[in-house]
Parts: sequence; C-alpha cells; structure tokens
Amino acid sequence: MKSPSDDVAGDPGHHPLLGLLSHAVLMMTAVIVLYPVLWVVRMALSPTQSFASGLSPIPSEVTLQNFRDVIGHHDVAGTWVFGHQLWNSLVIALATAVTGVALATSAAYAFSRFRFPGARLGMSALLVTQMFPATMMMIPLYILLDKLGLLDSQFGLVIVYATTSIPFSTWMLKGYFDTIPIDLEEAARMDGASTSRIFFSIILPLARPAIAITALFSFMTAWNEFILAAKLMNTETSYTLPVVLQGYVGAKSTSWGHFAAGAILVSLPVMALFFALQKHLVGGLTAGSVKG
Amino acid sequence: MAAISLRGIEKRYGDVVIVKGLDLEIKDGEFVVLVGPSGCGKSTTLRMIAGLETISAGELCIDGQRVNDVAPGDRDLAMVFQSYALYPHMSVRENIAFGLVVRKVKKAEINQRVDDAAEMLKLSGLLHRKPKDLSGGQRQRVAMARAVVRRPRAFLFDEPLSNLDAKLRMEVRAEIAALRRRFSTTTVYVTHDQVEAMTLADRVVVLNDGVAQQVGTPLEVYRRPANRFVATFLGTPTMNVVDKALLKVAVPGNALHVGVRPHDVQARKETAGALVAMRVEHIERLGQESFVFGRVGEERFGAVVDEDALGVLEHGSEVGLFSRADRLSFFNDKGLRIDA
Ligand SMILES: Nc1ncnc2c1ncn2[C@@H]1O[C@H](COP(=O)(O)OP(=O)(O)OP(=O)(O)O)[C@@H](O)[C@H]1O
Ligand SMILES: [Mg+2]
Repeated sequence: MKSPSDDVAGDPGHHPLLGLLSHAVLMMTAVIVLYPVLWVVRMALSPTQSFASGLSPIPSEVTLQNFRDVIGHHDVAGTWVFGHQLWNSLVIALATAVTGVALATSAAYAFSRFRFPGARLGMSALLVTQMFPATMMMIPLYILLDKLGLLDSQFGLVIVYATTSIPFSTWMLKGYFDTIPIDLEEAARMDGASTSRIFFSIILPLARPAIAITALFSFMTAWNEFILAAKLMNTETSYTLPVVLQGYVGAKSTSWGHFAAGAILVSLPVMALFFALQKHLVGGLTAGSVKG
Repeated sequence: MAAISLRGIEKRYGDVVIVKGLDLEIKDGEFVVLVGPSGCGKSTTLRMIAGLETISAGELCIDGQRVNDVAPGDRDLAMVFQSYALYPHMSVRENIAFGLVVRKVKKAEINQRVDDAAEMLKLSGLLHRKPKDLSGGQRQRVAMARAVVRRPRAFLFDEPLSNLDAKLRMEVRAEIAALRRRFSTTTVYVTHDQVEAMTLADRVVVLNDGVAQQVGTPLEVYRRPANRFVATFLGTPTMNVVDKALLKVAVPGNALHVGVRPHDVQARKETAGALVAMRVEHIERLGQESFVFGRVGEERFGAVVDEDALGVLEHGSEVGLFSRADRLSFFNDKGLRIDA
C-alpha cells in the first residue's frame, strides 16, 4: 500500500534541521517503547532466575536454557505439559475467533439491514455488556459453567470468551456493513440471489478487512486472557499459556527467566498473525472513511 | 418478453402518498420512458415494478399474472441501476455471469452467453478486470451486459446515463437504442432528461407529484401536451404560456391561456398581422439557431430569429411574433388542454 507522501516529488517547505529533529524524536520514542521489551528478552536469555537489576538491556551471558525449560516442561507422570497447554491455547483461541466471527457477522448483518423491533435496543444492550469488568462476571460465569458441567473444559472457556468478544465484533462489523451500498444487494436480488447467497457471495467478501480485524481481536482476547482461565480451569494439563506464565512468578516460585521466556513464546503467534493480516488490517482500521 | 400492467398502483410512506393511483398498460416489446422532475416518484414506481419496494395499493401484473407478492428474483426482470451497482470484488466476467450462476445455468452455456454479451457491448478485452479499473462508460456497459445476458422478460433502467459526460451519454444512448432494436424486449426507462425520453421512447409517461400527467408517443406529448405542466416540462427553451387576451388569436371555448413553443414562433421586423409585438431583452445565439427573449404581459416569451435574413438585432429592438395556427395549444382555467 502506498502512502500519500510517496507520490510527492521532493518535499518543499521542509527545513533539513526540522527533519533531523523529527527523526531524533521518533528514535527516542522507539527506544522508550522497545526498552521494556528488550529487558524481557534479556531476562529470558539470562541464566539466572532473578529479577534482573541494572539498566542495560544487553545480557552479560546468553543461554537458551530458559526456553528449553519452558518448552520441555513435563510433569511427574511424564506427560508433556507444555504441549498440552500450547494446544489448549491454540484450540481455544481459534475456536473463539471462528465462533465469534460467525455469530458476529450474522448478527451485525441483521442489525445493519433488517428492520425489526428492538434493533436499536439490541445494539445498545451489546454495548452495555462491554461496561462490566471481567472480574465482576467471574462469579455468575463460574456458577453457570458449573451447572452446565463445563468447568475445566475447553468448550466452556470458548463460550465465555466468545460472549465477551461478540459485542465488540458486532459493533465493528455493523459499522462496516453500513458502508456497503444497498444497491449491490438489490442488484443481486434482481439477479435472483437469496438472502443467504447475498450474505456469503457479496457481503462477506466485501467485508474482509473488518472480518480480519474482528477475527484477530477475538483470537487475541482468548489467547491473552488470564483471570477467567485461571479460575475456570483447574488441572495443569487444561491450563492455557497465560495461566502457566503466571505460575512461574506466583506464590510458590519466582522464576523470572522462565516467565520472560514464556512471555516471548506466547507473543510470537500473535505477532505472526499481525504480520499475516497486516494488509487487511490497514483497510479495516480505516473502514468506512473513504470508499476506494 | 412481457406485457406489464399497473392498475391503480400506489406507494405510501406512513401518511405521505408518493405514487397516487398509477394506471399504465405496457405492451409486450414496448419501450416506455417515465419522465418527470426530481422527487416525482419515478424511481419509486420502477422499484415497485422490480419488486424492490412493496406496493401499497393496486395491482401489478406481468403477462396477466399478479406479481405484487412475487420476489424480485422470481419476476425475471433485469435492472440497470444509476450507480451501476457492480460487485466490486468480482471481475467483469463474474459480474456479468452472476445472475446465471445463481440460476444454475450450465457452465458452458454461461461462458458462451457472457462472451456474446461482452462482444455486443465491446467488453471482450476487459472481462478479467475489476470494476474499479474501468472507466465510467465501461462500467455502464458492464451493467447493461449484466442485464442483457439474463435474457429477462423486461429491462428496467433507472437514470442509467446520468453519471456520464455529455458525449458519452449520446454514445450510450445510441447503444441502448441499438440493443432495443436487436432484442425488442419490453423496457421501462426512468429519466429526467427529456432528450432521452424523446429519442428512446415508444411511449412517454410524464409524471408529476406521483400522478401521470400524460401518456403518449414522444411527438404527442411534445405537440399536444395534455396540460400546462407537460407543456412547460418538455422542450427547451420552455414553452411560452400567456393569457389569451395578450395575443391576437381566436381561442376555442373557455380557453384562458395560449401556449406556443419558442421554436414555433418567428420574430420579424414588421409587426403588422403579428400575434403580438415584443421588445427584445435578451438574445441567445446558439450557432445553428438564435432565440430572442422579451416579455409579453408579465410572462417571459421566446422566439426563433433568423438574423441572416433579418439583420442583426439589438437589445430594445421591437419585433413582431408570428406562428402557425396549428402550433398553438390552449388551456382552460384548470390548466387542461382545450382542443379547437
Ligand atoms: N423511505 C422513504 N420514506 C419517505 N419518503 C420517501 C422514501 N423514499 C422516497 N421517498 C420520497 O418519495 C418521493 C419520490 O422519490 P423517488 O426516488 O421515486 O423520486 P424520483 O422521481 O426518482 O426523483 P429523482 O429524479 O430525484 O431520482 C421523494 O419525494 C422522496 O422524498
Ligand atoms: Mg430516481
């Protein structure tokens, strides 16, 4: 994608000193933003488990032992616990993204296109659910899942995560659907397409950027979530990775090296997803501003 | 091919009546143009025929079969939208083919028909492109190809040329006329451009405020307007309409006003035997022809002038205005036409 400034030949009215200054400011900002990250990298690569002191982000000794420990973690029975936990995280996050997007797209389409009593109220209700902190929902959710026999189950956690990501996704998608001209649907109807055909052949392909962003959002919600997972899952092999991470610096032990290595491992898939979807995301973030 | 009949068709939004009891029999193969000022209900009428708007009252029949409650896709009509409404994510080929794919036509036949339609509309080299990579005129032709390829019972057009520049508009107008000769499919065409109405239509329906003012051939509505609205809506410059007392002319019955098109009035230097004399306030020289404008009574009045024969006119010149008797229209106190 080209930025508008790519098309400008030269850049008159810009003093060279001004350019230098702005670069200096930008570099400072980058260092400030990246410093904590580098610090985590340093902890992960250090052989000690102590909370590293000193300001330098460069480790004095480099080892991958922390990563090996985290990845290779087995329990007393010889089960590869980390493998289970990585699998849990992946399955739960992907299932949340798929469920969330599937339900949010259809709900958003209905809110955007159909006129029915309670449409406005419904959208407001979705917004209201976003106002309560997750911890407040903790107890009712726990009781609900308990009654349904879904405690300590991946399925239960997916339901919980999906319900928290769907309201945002629905708002996001409805806003995007509203920008798709109604003429296109009418043309398709004249062409003989059914409502579901229109939804799948016209609306969904056109809403790809918005769908990408909501999918990513849902995935990240589930992938990073800690509080609910820690309370609703109670065997080590059913934990998700954020719960495991917290365990490294919990009450029993403080292995900062393991924690840092784990944190890096956990953020890698999200970063990979960001890069993979980057092209679509730019479109999604500017959704509705200009129609190309 | 289909005959379309509208019987007492009405459209209401709450208490507001947009289309007020429209009656119209469109014959099989006929090209009918709905024309009227902005907001008069042209699009609404067309969209009711298409099935995109519900019909509040009255009956819509296609080939004698009531279709009020038939879904748009099942009416077998094709519509060309003002915005073209091309599917942005599909290639030109996919756009044209969509209606056939939805209807589960065999692949080989789809390809054949798309190729034919593309050839006819000079789109053959563009089939792989996306709509955003086409010019306005090309998009317009894709929209037409998408309609043609379906071989529908009737075509519906909603101001298909209004997004094109003047030159292109003329080209596409010719193309629509050619399509029409080739298929002679029933067509309902909405426009507020009277040139389109006059050149394309078998019959013109002049709408105002949701009511059909007149239905007739282009020449009929131009030469024999049913009322003052039609008289002044069609034709440029606008028809002159003045009080009968201001002109030296015998009027039939209870006629109050006399109308005559500027094209049918000649300005001359002599005033003897003229309808009326007028002082020239304004001259429009269009190259081919020139018009003079002044006032008769309070009303603006226009006439053609042949300056080659007459010598150059100036502002303030006095001219006599002459017209053939059969080019005059007469209107009564309700603005309705009175025939001699
Ligand atoms: N959903 C609606 N609710 C209320 N009024 C409406 C609605 N849709 C259209 N109208 C009104 O109906 C009238 C006719 O609209 P329509 O689009 O048929 O006009 P038109 O003749 O096609 O005009 P134009 O030449 O500007 O396209 C307008 O006055 C418009 O404001
Ligand atoms: Mg219209």
